[in-house]
Amino acid sequence: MESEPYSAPVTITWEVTLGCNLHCDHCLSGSGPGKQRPNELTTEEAKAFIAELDEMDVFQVNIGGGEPFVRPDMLELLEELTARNISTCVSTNGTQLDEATLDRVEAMDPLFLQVSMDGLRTENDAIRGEGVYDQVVDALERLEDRDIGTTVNTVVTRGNVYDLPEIYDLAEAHGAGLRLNRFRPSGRGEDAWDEFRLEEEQIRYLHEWLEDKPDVRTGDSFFYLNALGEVRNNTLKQCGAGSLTCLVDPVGDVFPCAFTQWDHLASGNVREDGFQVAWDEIASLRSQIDDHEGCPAVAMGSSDPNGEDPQLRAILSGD
Amino acid sequence: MTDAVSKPGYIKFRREPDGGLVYDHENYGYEDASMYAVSDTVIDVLEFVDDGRAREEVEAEFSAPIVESLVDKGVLTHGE
Repeated sequence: MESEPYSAPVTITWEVTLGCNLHCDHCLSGSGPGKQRPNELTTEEAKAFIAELDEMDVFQVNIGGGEPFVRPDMLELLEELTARNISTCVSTNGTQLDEATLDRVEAMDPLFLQVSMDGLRTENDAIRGEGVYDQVVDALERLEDRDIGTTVNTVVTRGNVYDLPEIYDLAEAHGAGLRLNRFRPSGRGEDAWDEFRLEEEQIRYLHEWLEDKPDVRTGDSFFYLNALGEVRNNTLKQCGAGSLTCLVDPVGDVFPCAFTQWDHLASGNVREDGFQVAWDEIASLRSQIDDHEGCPAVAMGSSDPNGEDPQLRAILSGD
Repeated sequence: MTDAVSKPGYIKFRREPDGGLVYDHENYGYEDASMYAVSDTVIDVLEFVDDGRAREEVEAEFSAPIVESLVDKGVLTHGE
């Protein structure tokens, strides 16, 4: 990690709303129908924030939620970001992508979509809702027809880990990449942690499978190592929370990452303080993050909050 | 025909108090990105190239090895 903080994050995750038409069992932010917060950033406040991101030269903005496209002004905000040439990536559940929306999305550049799929039909719909799998596959077909850069995002769980080869094939058949994310004890995932987290044998299976799939994109430090505890490749698979990246929530509060939205790690508000002030403050929280080996969110959400990431330890020790 | 160099759209860069950063990534997340801490000179080159320049013009302003090195890394590409 750098000793001197960067003047600005390289990338941020911006959860634009907690509203969502789905109510997934493991939602990292606890989003769902009617979960919008009353004081989410207005369109004008969001645009002022985007202008500050541009001024600070933030390279990339990852839009999440909630479901971003339930915000009536979402397309307007995406146009504002892409017009400023900020790489803009949207994580969506794939159910809100009607043709009129895709007409506007198709015209934006640089813009990429990430569509969630947490298993094949049975497993996905058990977590995300009846009929969602078919809607997502339909969305993937329409995105492919329009040649819109798309990645399928799968949160790897106990129930879907052995389906990854088929999910990979399905994504590939639609011209989409696959990105894996680790299930973390955050939001409703805190309650579902023991139900969905991988068992050790599954962790080893996952990492061995990844060895043969270098084109699969991965998130977080868990994937920085292979099943033997060796560094997989020379990318940024280190924890960048509070050093390379941060999270801005729907009301503008700033945290080190999407999975560490705890009051003691909050560092300011983009509406009240401005983003630069919040970013400068976050460097002082970094030491609390650095104390944990692996993913701090998993470590801090596990039975020993002061300990290390227990799943990473399973790889390192092989036990 | 003049050989041109340009910066691919997915390459981002900025100055930092000491040198600068070059970020190479497409799509969601950042963990799969490559990022380089670079000298002021590299940032100068990228600003100079902007949307595209004749390669010989960039080499004359900086040096042929610098341009070659940036092309090798994919930070610059042939053509506009």
